[in-house]
Amino acid sequence: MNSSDTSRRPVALITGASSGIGQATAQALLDAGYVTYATARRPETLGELTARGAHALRLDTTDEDSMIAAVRAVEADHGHIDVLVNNAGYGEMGLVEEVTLDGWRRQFETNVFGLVRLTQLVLPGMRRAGSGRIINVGSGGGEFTFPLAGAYHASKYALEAVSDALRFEVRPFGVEVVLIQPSPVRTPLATTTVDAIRTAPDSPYAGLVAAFRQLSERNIASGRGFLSAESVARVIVEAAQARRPRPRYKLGAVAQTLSLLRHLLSDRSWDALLGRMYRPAASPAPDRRARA
Amino acid sequence: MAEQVALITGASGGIGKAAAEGLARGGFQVFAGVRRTGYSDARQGAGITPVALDVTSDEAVTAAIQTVLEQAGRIDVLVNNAGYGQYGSAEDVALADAQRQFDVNVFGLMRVTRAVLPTMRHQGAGRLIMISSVAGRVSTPFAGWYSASKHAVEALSDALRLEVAPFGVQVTVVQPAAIKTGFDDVALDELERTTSTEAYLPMTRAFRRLVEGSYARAPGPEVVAAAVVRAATARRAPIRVAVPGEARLMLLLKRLLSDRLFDALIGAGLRPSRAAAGKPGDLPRHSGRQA
Repeated sequence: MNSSDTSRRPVALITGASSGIGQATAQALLDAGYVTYATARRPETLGELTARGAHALRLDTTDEDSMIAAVRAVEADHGHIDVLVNNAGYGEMGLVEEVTLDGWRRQFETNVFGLVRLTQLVLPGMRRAGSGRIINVGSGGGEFTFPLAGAYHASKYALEAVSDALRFEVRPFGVEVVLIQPSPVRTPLATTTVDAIRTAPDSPYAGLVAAFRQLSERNIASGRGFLSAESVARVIVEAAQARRPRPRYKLGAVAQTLSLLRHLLSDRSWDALLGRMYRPAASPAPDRRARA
Repeated sequence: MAEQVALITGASGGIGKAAAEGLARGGFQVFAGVRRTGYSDARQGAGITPVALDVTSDEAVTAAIQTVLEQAGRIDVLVNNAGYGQYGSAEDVALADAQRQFDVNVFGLMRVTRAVLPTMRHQGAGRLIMISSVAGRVSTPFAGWYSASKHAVEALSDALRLEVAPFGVQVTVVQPAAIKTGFDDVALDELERTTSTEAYLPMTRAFRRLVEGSYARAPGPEVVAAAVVRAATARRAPIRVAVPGEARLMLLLKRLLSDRLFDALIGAGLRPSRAAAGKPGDLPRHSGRQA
C-alpha cells in the first residue's frame, strides 16, 4: 500500500465482503489491480482475501463510528477512495402485518441508512478529487415486489430512489453512481432467507407462508435463475472501470424478465401472475415442473 | 348496513382534512387523526370526530384505534395520509433527519396499518388507502429521502395487497403530484436548513425555483380527496390512482424514458439560466452557509 506516488493505484472499499457477492467482488477488484479494502462486521472472516493482498477493516453499516474510522484509515494512506461498493445488506422476510416495527427499522438501518451514511463520508474526498464511483448493490427486487418480503423490497425500492437522486446530485463533481440489480445469487443469503420465515401455526397467513416456502425451496433446489456471485462481481468491476458507466445494471433472467413484466403488466395482471405462483398447495401432488 | 367508518391520519390540514370532509359528505362516520387535539376540534365539520393520533407513537396509535372501536365498533377505511417532505441533498441530510422521514412516512404508516389489520381481517372487509406520491415512482435530486420513503410505501403496499386480499382487505395507492397544502413550505424549509455543502448551492437554488413554480400552479387538495372517496366507495377498490393529470404525465415519462434521458429532462429543468431568465442577480434568498 505504500506504493510509489507517481503511479497511484485506484483504491476501492467494499462492504459486506465476508461472503457472497462482496467476497467475490473484493477478489475481482484485487485481480483488476485495485488497492482493495475489504470490510465486514467481523474482519476475522476476511482471512482468505487478506492472504491474497486485500486490506481488512472492521465496518458495520449500523455503527457510524466504525464507518468513520474505516474511511479515515483509507484516506490517511491514499487521500481519497476511488470506488465505493455498497454491498452489505440482508433480507428481512415475513408478512407485512407480522414483521415487527423493530424488524422494519433494522432492515432500513442496514440496507439504506447505513449505506447512505457511508456514502456521505466518502463523498467529500471524491468531490475533492473530482472523480469517483459509488456502486450500490440493489436488487432486481427494487422494481418488483413479492409477498412475504415487503420490508426487503421496500428497502430496495428506497435504494432505487436514493441512487437516482444521488446520481444527479454528484454528477457535476465527476462522481458517478451506479445501481446493480442482480437476480437471486447462489449465496448463503438465499437459504438463510427461507429459513428465517417463521409464523405461528395458527397464523391466518399459514397457507401463504407454506406456499412461499415450497416455491423458494423448489427454486433453490433447482438452482434455476440463480446467478453466481462471481458473475455479479465481474459486472461490478466493469461498472467501476467503464469510461461512462450505466446508471443501472440488471443482471440475470429473473431481474430482467420480472422487471419487464412488472412494467408492462397492469397491477391486476401482475397480482394474478403472483397469485398463481403463490397458490397454497391444496394437496402434495407434484406439479408439472417436478415431473419434467 | 351500518354506517361505514373511516380513520384518517394527519387530518388537521391539507389532503387529510379535505379527505375527512369528503368522506363525511359521502356518508362515512369519520375519525380525523390529529397530532394535537384541541387545535383542530372547532375546525372539524359535521360527522367528523377528532382523535389524538401521532403515528410515531405506539401508545397513541393503540389508544386512537381503541377509541374508534369503542365509539363506532368497526373500521372500514384507513387513510394513511400523515407525512412530510424531507428535502435536501443526499450528502447533506443528517442521518437523524432521514430516519425521522421514515419514522413518519413509512414506519408510522406501518404502525397504524398493523394496528387496524386484525380488525379488518375479522370483519372480512376493509380498505387501506395509502397516500403515496409521484415521488413513489420518480425520484428527483434534493428530494431523495422523501422519494425513498414513498418508494418504500409503493413496495410495501404491493406486498401487503397480495397478503391481505384473501381476507377481503383491499389496498389502494394514491399518487398525487404537487398539491397546494403547505407541503412545499415545510419541504423547502428543510432544503434550506440542511444545505451545508456550498458546492450544492447553485443546484439547490434552481431546484427551489422549480418547486416554487410547480406549486404556484398546483391544484388544491380537493382533487386528491375526491380520489380517496372514490377509492373508499368504488365496488372494487382501484390499485393505483394518480392525480391530477400532471402526475400521470410524469409517471408515463418515467416509464418511457431511459435513466439518462430522464436525468437530462430534470437537468433542463434545473438549468440555472432558464428559470432566472438571464438575471442571476434575482436568485431567491439562501442561507449561504459554508461547507
